[in-house]
Amino acid sequence: MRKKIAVITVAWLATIIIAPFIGKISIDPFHLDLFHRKILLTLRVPRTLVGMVAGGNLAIAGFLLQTILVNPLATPYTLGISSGASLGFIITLLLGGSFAMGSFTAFVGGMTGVIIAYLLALQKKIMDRNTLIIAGITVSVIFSSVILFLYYISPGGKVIEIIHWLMGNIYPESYDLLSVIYAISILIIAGLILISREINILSLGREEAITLGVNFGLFLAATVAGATLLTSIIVSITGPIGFAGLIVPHILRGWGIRKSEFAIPLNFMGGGILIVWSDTLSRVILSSGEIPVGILTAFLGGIFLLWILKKASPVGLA
Amino acid sequence: MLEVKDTTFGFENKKLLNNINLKIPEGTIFSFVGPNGAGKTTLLKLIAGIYRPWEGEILWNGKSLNLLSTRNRARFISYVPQNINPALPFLVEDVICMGRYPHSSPLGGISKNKELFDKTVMYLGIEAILKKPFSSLSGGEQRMVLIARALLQDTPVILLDETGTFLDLKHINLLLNLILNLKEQGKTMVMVTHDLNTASLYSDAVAIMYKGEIKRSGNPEDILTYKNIQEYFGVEVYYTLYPGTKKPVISLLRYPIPVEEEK
Repeated sequence: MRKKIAVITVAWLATIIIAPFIGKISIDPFHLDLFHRKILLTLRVPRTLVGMVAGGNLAIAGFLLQTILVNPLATPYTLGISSGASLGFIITLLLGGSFAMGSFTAFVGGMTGVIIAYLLALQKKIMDRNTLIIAGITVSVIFSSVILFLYYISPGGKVIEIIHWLMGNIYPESYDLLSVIYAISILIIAGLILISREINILSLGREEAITLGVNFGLFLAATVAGATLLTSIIVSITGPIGFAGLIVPHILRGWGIRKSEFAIPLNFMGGGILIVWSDTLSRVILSSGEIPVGILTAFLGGIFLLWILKKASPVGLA
Repeated sequence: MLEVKDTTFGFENKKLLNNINLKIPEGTIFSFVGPNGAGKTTLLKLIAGIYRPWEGEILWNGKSLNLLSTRNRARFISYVPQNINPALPFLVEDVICMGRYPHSSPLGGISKNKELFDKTVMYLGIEAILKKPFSSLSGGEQRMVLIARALLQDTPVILLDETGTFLDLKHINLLLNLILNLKEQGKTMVMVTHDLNTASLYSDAVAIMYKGEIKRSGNPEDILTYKNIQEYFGVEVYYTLYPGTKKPVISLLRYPIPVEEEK
């Protein structure tokens, strides 16, 4: 385990240090002029920092939901975050609001989606993870139909803007916003690491968790809340970037990283590495302009799933 | 003494257990038998604290367990489930150590209790599989691991829900000897079983459950009578006594029993 932690940490640090120097304008770290320094500090570094926290949070959320729902296909969006956030964003934009306002309503929308799904599942008195998944899917389906309706009645220009957002993009954000996002994320992650033994036991299911002494309802709610917050703050600024939250926990689990106390921090680093390099690729792959990183992660994710299907036994998937 | 007092329970509006009263002395082996759907597993889960009774309470030495927190309750009763998730993504040793959860400090790591861990692992003979993924084990091995976890929980009461099912003869033998041994150590073992012979030969007391009620309870020889089995299970059986004891041994009636020729 020590070796794995060391390898991932080194790769993560290397990513932070190297990625900002790569782009259409290549920057030589040993001969920095004013122009290059400006690109580095106002564009590349903040962008790398956004990618790090975006990938990190999504991977942790994916890991948590896969663990507590005991479902290898769970993603940060399984409980309705992405459709809720998208709906929140779209409504604001259609009402003439700014991107920043859209980000805020996306955050509120994502949280609302999960809260509705959670309350729906609670109706059954005894919380069951399959009910929770079905409730999440139900919320997503209903929100998605509203989104389609809004497309239908919207002017074309807005629709293009919206679709671009929905693809998932990493933009360089201000250091002020970044420090808020990092502070919140680190607090939540620290809290999740503190309850990591309970999270491990939650994966045994309600009955075994209770007989082992874990207050199932309380810790399930805490874990879902943590995963939802981590995801919502990211989706509100980047849009729903697909697949990072699915792939990274799978890769790490395949590598033997299963216990939450290790998996939570390592998924943070692994997710960051994936998104930052995908984003770096997305800004150099086209000779003119950039492609939204969400397109790349979805493409890579699809290929990765094919590979899993071909390679893994059904047990290995879990 | 484990006591179930005036307990009634059900799901939604459907009553599954009706006014259950039961006393199980400390350091004994107790078995629930009865047809499918009689409420045996439901009652065991109620004792385990998985369900909360509509009415009544579960007491250990006169103290109501219903008032305890989930964590404190898990220091008194451990539970070996009937259905296990075979794809659990943890190593065997991690699964076993989860049994220490109710004894470890809040927010800390799980304290292993090395001595108990080593003793349990050696006793069950599972040293060789400790570093394997739980999902790679056979059904028998997985069950042994869950028993090890219950032993690490170190509770005075251990509940076993059809633990013998799916085990081969060697593993069943190992399990039942373990249960007898735990009884010697003063543990109270409560099990649900479909195997009437296990109930008869290994338990100190047996209860027959039928349609959510306890119909009979007492010594195996008084309860597992030919008449009771016929009445509550609705089948004709071949019935004999284990040599040297008054304990019944029961099998299905596959062939007509030949009438002994008079000499």
